[in-house]
Amino acid sequence: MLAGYYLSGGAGLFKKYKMGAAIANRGVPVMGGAGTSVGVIIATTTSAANAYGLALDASTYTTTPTSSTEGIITVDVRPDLVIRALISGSATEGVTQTVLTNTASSSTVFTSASIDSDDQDGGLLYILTGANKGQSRSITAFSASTSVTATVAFPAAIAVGDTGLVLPWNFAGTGADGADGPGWVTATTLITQANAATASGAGLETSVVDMELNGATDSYILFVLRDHVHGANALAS
Amino acid sequence: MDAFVPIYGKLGEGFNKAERSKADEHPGRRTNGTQTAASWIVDLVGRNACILLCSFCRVKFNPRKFHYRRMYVSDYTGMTDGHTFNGRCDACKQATVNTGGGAAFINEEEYSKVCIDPVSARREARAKSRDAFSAWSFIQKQQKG
Repeated sequence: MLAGYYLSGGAGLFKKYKMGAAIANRGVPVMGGAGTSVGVIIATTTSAANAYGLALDASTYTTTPTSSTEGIITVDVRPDLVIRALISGSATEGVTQTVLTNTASSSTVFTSASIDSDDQDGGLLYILTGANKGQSRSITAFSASTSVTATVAFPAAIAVGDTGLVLPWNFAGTGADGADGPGWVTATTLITQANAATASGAGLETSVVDMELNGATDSYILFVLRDHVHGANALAS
Repeated sequence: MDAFVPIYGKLGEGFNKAERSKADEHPGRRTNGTQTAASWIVDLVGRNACILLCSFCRVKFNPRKFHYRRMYVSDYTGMTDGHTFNGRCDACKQATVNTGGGAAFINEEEYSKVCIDPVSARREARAKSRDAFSAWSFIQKQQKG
C-alpha cells in the first residue's frame, strides 16, 4: 500500500514509534497494540482498530535490543492520508482478478458462473470490454456463482461475451448490508494489497475515496482509515 | 503503589487513543552526549529506514551517496510541491514546521513500496488519458507479441 495523497492537501506528518511486534513489510497500516502492550503492531487482514497510520519502515522486534535503532518505525500519521492499494484477486499478493465473461444479454444483469461466492452486494460492477467499456454500476442484488444486478441500467445492453470485474467495494453507501461497499477493505495476507475475493462489508474499517480501475492486474483502491487514533472519533478511550 | 493518571484526566478515566499514541512515540536519537546526529543517521541508513530532515540539516545529507530518494506524495492543493513532510528532524531533533519544512528520504529499493514515483505516475496518467500504452507497457507487449 502506498501513500497516495492527503484529502486536505499539504505536507505529511511523520512520527517514529516504538514497536510492539515485528513489521516485515513497508507500506502496511499499523495500529496500537492490544490491552496494555506498548508499541505499534501491524494491522490484520480484517482489522486496523486504533490505526496509527501507514508504516514507511520495516523492522524486527526484540525485547533485548542491542542497537539504538532497533525496533523503531516511521509512520505517516495523518488521518486523512489516502492509502493507495493494488487490488489482488485473492488473499495472496499480486494475483490477477477473475475476469468474468457475460453469458446472457441484459442492460442491468451480468451473468457468469465465475462470480465469487462471497456476497458482494453493495460492491461495484466494472465493464472491461464491449459497448459499455469503462462503465461501472453499483451492485444491488447478488446471486453467488450466478449473477450480479445493477439498478441503474448501463447505456447499452451487456452483450454475451463482454467481460467485466466484480469488486466488493463502492464509492457510496450507508454501511448497512447491501450498501456496505465503501466501509471496509480486506487486506491480503501480507497487508500490502487489497483482496477483491471477499464479501462486501468485511475487513479494515475504511472510507473508500476512489478506485483506479484499469484492468485485472493494475487496478487500485484508494481509502482512508476510519478508526484512526487522530481521527474525528478518537476521543473515546 | 504508583498510579499513572492521564494528563488533564481524572483518576479512573484511562487514556484516550491519542494519548496512548503519544506514549508509543520514540524520542529519536540520544541527546546525552553519547550519540551524534551523524551516527544516528548512519544507523537509520543501515536499516534502510526513512530519514526526515529539516531544511537546515538536509543540505548535509547526500541521498545519492546512500541510495536514497526524496519521498513524494502528490498534493493536489498546490500548498506544497509534494516533497514536503513534517515531524521531528532526525539530525537536530527540531520540529520541521519551525525550521522551513522537512524532507523525507526513502531507500531506493523500498521507494515503490511506500510512495508513487511522480515521473512514472505522470507518464501512466497521460497514457491512460489518451487510451494508449505507456512506453514501458508498449515495450512489454512488443516483447510478448
